[in-house]
This record gives sequence, C-alpha cells and structure tokens, in this order.
Amino acid sequence: MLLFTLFVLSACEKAVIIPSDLSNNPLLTITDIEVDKIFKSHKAGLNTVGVSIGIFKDGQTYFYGYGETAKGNGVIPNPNTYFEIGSITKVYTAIAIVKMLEGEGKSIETPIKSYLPADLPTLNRNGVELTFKHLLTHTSGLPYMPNNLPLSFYTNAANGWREYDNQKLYSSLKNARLAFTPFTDFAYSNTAFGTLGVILERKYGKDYGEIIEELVLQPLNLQNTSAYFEKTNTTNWSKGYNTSGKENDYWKTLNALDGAGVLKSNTNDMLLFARSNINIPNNSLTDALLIAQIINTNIVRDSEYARTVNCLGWFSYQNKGVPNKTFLFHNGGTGGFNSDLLINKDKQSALVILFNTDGNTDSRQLLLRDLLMLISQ
Amino acid sequence: MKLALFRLQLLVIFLPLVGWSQSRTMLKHQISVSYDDTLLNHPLLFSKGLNTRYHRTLIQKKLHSLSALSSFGFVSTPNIDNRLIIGLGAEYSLYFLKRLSLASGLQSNYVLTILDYDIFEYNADGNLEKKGNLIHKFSPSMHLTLLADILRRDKINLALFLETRLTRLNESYKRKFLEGYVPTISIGLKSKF
Repeated sequence: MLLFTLFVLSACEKAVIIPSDLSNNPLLTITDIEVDKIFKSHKAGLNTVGVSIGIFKDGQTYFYGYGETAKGNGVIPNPNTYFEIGSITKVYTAIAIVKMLEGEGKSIETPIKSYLPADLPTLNRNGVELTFKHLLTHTSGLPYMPNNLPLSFYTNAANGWREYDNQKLYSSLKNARLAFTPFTDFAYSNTAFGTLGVILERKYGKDYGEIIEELVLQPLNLQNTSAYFEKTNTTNWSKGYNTSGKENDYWKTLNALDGAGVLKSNTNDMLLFARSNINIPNNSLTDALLIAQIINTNIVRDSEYARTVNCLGWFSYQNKGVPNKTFLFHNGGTGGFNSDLLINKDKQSALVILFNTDGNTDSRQLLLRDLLMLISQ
Repeated sequence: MKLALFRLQLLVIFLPLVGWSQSRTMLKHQISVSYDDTLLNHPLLFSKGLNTRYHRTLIQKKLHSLSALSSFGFVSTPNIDNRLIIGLGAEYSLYFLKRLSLASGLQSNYVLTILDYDIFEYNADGNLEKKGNLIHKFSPSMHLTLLADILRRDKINLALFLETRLTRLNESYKRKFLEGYVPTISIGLKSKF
C-alpha cells in the first residue's frame, strides 16, 4: 500500500515542459501551415522538450521538428534524429513471427509450447493452451509485465532491463497465471511480446536485433532502425526525459523483453515503414505484412479518445474525434520517449509523431486527433 | 542550537537505557493480525491478504526476547488464485526505545494454492490431461517488523506494527534458492498477554 501511494504520488508529479519556439517548419505549403497551426494550438500542454513529426500524404513526405533534441542545446529534431520507439517494436516482432511461421508452413493458431524450453509448464487456462495468436493479440492473459522484475527496475528501468535475462523470463513463465481463458478478453502484455522475441531467438539461434534486421528491416530497406544503440548514428540522438523533465537513461536493451520495445528509429525510417505497409512490396515479406494487418479479434476496447481492435501487433484504431476513419496504429513509450505511428490505408497516408519526453497528455491526444484529420482529408 | 543538538544526542543515547532499566513483565503469549499487500502475480498491482500469528515467548532477557511462532494467512488475487499459508518459525525481538521494538523472524511454510481454474498438462500419450486446481508447496519466509507500543499494562501490551516480509511463493526456472521471493508489506496489531 505504501509503495502504491509512493507510486501514485510520483505519477502525479508532473512538471509542465513547454518546447522552445525553435522549428524547422518551412511554412511553404498548405500542409506546412496547417501543421504549424495545429502544433501551436496544443504546444503549451504537450509536456515535451522536442517533437519530430512525419507525414505521408498525397504521395508527398513532410517532416517537421519543434523544440529541441536536448534541453537548451538549440538543435531542432530533424527526420534523421533518433528516438526510442518503444512498443511500436511489437509490430516488427509480430511481422517477424508471422514470417517465421510462414517459413514453417504453420499458422498463428500453433501452440507456443514447443518453441519454449521443454521443462516449462504448458501455459493454459482450463485446457485452452496459449498459441501465437493469443500472444500477438494481447488475449493470452499473461501479465502486463513479468512478475519478477529486479528491484533495480523500479529505481532505474534501464538498469533493471539489463538484469532481466531469458532465464528470468522463463522463471516468470513457470509461475505465470493466465488472468482469463485465452482469447476471451484483452490484457495488453509486454510479457507476451517479450516471449515472442525470445521464441525468435531460440528458433534462429541469434539475438533478437539480428533476427529483426534480417527478417524485417533489410527486406524493407530500413537502414535507420535498429535494436542496437551502437549501430545507430550516435551523434544524431535526441535525449530522453521523463514526465517531470528529468533526463532519463536510454533503454539500450530490454534484454528478455526486447521483442516488446527495444527498437530505435527516426521519423524518416518510420515513414518508410509506414509506406511499406500502405503499398506492400512484392518481396519475402509480402504475406507477413498483409497477415499482420488483418483484424483477429472481435474484442473492442473503448477508451476516452479511441476504439481499438487487435490485428497482429497492429491495432485497428478509430479516433473518436475523426469519425468514420480507421487507421493501423501502434504507439510506444520508454523511460524518456513517446511515439505514435498511424496509417490510413484508404487515403494512403501516414503519420509519425516522436516525442523526446515520456508520458501522455490531453494536448498530445488533441494534437494526434487534429493531425489525423489533416492526413485523412 | 548547539545546546539543542547536544540535548538531542543525550536523549538518543539515554532513551534505550531508560528502557533497559525498566523491569518488564514476561508476557508469554502474543497474537497478531495484519493486513497484507503482496506483489505476487503482477509487478505493479498488489494482491491483498491477511495474516495471523501466535507467538510463545521462550526467552526474555531485559530488552531481548526470543519466541516460537505459528501463523496462518492468505493472499488473494481475484480471478487467478487464493493462497493459504501455514507456517512455523522463530522470532527475535529487541526494544531499542522505550516503546519501540524491532523484530525479525524466519519461518517455514506450507502453501496451498487454490487456482480459480483448472490446469492441464501433457501426459505421456501427448494429450492434455486435467491436473486440477490445487498446488502444494513448502516455502521459507523472513520478516522484519517495527512495533510501537500503544498500550502497556502489567498483564497486557498492545502494539501497532509495520512489517516487510519476503516469502518464496514463486518458483525459479533453474531452481535457484534465492529466486522466487515476493515482497509483502503489512500493517497490523499485536497483543501480548
């Protein structure tokens, strides 16, 4: 109870960070002017040091940077500035898993048991065994996070992740209690996608980052997305801040939970990824990209701002402020970053927003809503 | 300012001695009840529980005492499981201020987990076989308790306490003895008589 109180108090402690007036918006096109107008109307409540926005619309690509990559450095985020994209990683993991199963001639209905150490118990509730579909659609009933995170996670998550190896994830799975019979309810689960990442590692005998590179990033020519901080252009990184404005350590690894949120990218590459999902390329990933976009459950989640249904990794998303428009969606958050990726398949448009400050505010939701309206026109 | 600090230092030094010099009646029996929050199945959500203990004081020498204890408690995680924990152990306690004492204990527990659902496991024929909803195990636990006496009479003593406890309610994948401990924070009332 005491811990919970401290947790709530720390969560309530929100400093208001207003991005500096710096911007690289050229204000040349109608889109430029609209984006500038939208940004300025929500700027005061965004609680971020900087933001990078990418838009793909009517066959054109637009990039906008506001604020700074680090407090007071005067450098505006550009399309090549690196951010942690957090849980958007799950979309890449899902595509890699579908690709792996496709290579084996198996479907997502395949149970995961044979892909994990044989001495782990069969994960089931009332005899309904966990399959890839359950993990990919957050309907497994596995917890939001593993129940055995090290103490260091609570003081500095970056250190906690470093300690959390595959053996610890196996311990967590050994004790896992499914919160409901699989595929009867929804519970967002990093544990599930961490497990999928580990399954990839066991299957291919390589590190998660190498597998994603081979299966997803190379076929889509995404040269600026990586699981490895050292493989990125380390001179072009944004700093990351927590909701109180304190600089946070980078989450260079999530270790056993890499599959849930380890990737780093920039607006340029994120828009390239979005475009690959709009105009599916004819290559080794064609089927996997298509399958990942199919709605797989009828469980609709209703929140204040949106309704979502699960695809595989992706969510099918309807923003309540943008009626009758459906987007492919995922967002992400790490200790110092927050990100959104949305694709309007009908309009063949896409939106990427990368914040270098964690958290979510009403203004961020309103910024998202207004930019979605813009790309849906 | 310096004088005030000096007085405070004197107070800190002499308070335990004041406690030491008091004759304490040996109260042989102790019963405690606590409300527990345990991080069990989820890293951020607490499972609720209750714990009761009976202590029998074995040795009491001035500020020190040693007792044997038995306990019964449960931890409940809605829709997942309820765990009954029955334990035997020992506790050492020390009065470090007039009304404040610190206790630490070790216990050996039998844990019965009653799942809200049935679990299945593959049998030798490769078919899923129902294994029921009960899991039995033995587990150690250790606790550290801070007690504040709120009522002191010759034959009865009532104390409020705050406790932190580690219980091995989970398994480790590679059977490492130091893994699988889950933390509990308790607040409770203890009566000595």
